[in-house]
Amino acid sequence: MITVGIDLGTAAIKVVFIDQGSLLWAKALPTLPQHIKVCEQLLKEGMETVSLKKKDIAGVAATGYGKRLFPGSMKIVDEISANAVGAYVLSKARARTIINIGGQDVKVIKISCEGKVDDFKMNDKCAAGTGRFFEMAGRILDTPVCEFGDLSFQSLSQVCLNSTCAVFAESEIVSLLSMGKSRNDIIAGLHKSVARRISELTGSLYLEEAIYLDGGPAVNKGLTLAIKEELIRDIDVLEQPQFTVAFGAAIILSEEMSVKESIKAERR
Amino acid sequence: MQLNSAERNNSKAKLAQKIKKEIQEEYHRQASFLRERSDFCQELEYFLEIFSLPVSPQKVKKRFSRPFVGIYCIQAPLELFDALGFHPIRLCSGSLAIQRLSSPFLPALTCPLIKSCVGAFYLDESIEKLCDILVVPTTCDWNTKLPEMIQDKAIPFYIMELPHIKESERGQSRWLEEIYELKRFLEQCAGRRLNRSQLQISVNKYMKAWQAFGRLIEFRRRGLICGTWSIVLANAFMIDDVESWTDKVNIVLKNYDKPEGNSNPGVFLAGSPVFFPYLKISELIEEAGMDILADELCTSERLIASVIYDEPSEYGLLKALSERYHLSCSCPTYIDNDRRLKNILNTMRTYNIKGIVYHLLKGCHPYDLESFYFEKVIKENGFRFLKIETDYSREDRQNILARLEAFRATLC
Repeated sequence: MITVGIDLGTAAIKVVFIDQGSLLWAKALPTLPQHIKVCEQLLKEGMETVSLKKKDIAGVAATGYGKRLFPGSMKIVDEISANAVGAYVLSKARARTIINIGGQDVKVIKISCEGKVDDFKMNDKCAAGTGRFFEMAGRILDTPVCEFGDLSFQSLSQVCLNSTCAVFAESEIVSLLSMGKSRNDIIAGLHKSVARRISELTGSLYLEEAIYLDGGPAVNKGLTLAIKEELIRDIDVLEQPQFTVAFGAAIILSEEMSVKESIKAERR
Repeated sequence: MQLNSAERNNSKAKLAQKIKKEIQEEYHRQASFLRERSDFCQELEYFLEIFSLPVSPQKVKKRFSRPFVGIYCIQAPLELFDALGFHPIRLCSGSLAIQRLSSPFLPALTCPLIKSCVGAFYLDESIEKLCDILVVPTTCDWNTKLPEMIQDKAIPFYIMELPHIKESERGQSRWLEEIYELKRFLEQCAGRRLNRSQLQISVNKYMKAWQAFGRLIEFRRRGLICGTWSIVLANAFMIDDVESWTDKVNIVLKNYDKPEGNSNPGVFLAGSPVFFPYLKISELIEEAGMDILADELCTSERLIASVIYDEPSEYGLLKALSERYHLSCSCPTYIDNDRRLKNILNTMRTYNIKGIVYHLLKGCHPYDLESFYFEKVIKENGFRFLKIETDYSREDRQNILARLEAFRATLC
């Protein structure tokens, strides 16, 4: 059974195709005002790539902040539950804590041994330390965010950033640049300050092992290292961590449809 | 170029008029949302009309013919005001628009409720300005400093010094002294002495309201009336004439008297107050597919003060009022408040409520401080706990809804 998960996030729209729990195809595009068009474009591309027709797809599950915007979804899944299931399955049932850094929020989700949400913490409306924060830093430093990880490893003397606020950090970075601080040192400082913010959200003791990091910024190896150092815990990163939530939504739909089919079969 | 005094006054008046219109729209919009709900029935219209009063103070004057006493918090006994011929109004505000008037003069992180309450004094007319006296018990720091925030508004204040340890003989006798002092002050204002039999009539009158309140809660526990409407009805109690309110609640409940209610997962709503038109948290909990079967808000279930008296003498009645409004109150500003948590846990066990949504208004320090201990105890007792920190704005609705939807999944 092939199901599709769409994660309509604030920074990117992610689409995954799965077949019996295995990932077939995944792609992300930046979120634009025309959400539906982006979703349809990704669906079309996915179907072409894995040579599928519409009738081959059992259903589409939507998740993320824009989950109610896509009219073609069969199921709407909250992003926290989708994240828990996605990480649990992709980690082969190892994950007990997920730290998700999204476009506008940071979530720490505890997962039960059955793969369900046990508890979670999430920042409120402040966007400090989220994907938006990195986007702002990339703009000021005139550096693509995807290069942050490698550049931070070249830092010789990490600077201390006082703010993770997306607004105040901007003026702090400008002032550090004017003081002659190097870009690499500032990036390393950014990672450290985001790691500290995550640590303040939960405290290291809240996290149960195995701990995984996901969301778009999780591909940044420099950030992962900073979080590990700040929390003094082992943290793994899933392959393609930006797709965990969409993957989880597709899994939830697939499991729900399998249950329905088996009930139908029993009745027959 | 600096404005001269006339220009300044003119521009101030124009701004106040503009904001007044925004406030009226805010109240009207919230009432319209409520009317559009599928569980709205015509009998509820009475309560929505009550919430047209804060934006039309002249209607308040016509509706209630007695002199007004504005009361902050819930520790001053309503029966005493009633017996001395006053119409007590529990002053509270959930208006975001009104904060534009007070924000320039208050700290940025002021409790939203206080910001809105203070804003009402900057309008040319408001319920607050209709009051002959304002009674302020010294509960939280914000409330304690409230008289200072509006000292230039020319309305006399009466401060009640609240003992923060209540389960001690000293605390209880001090509060009884405060009640006697309040009585003497009100007698001076009214120009007459308190009549014992009038006080007993008032106590009995309110007893009928507490009974109606009890039925409302019972309906809510059974899922017959939703949390949002229960809060709206309770909020209206704070403004309305007690007898009219009692009659109308009983009429509404007849309409909801059905064998079975909803079957969504039930939650307990704890924490900072919720007052019309700010109903964001209760509406979002329901939008996420949960029923608020119980709460402990000081603008809702905590309002109940069923006064039982053994001795109908003046002393006996005042003592009963003093105990009920102090010893039985579970405001988080008290130091000895273990009974509050025990009662919440009992309610959750009795009504099979699996989780608590802990609503926290940014800047509401007593609830914020308490939330960490609360979370620990609630979780240790096997219940789910979700803290939502927010304010009166609507911009974080999506963020809150995402958390509530996931919280619901943990309850199933």
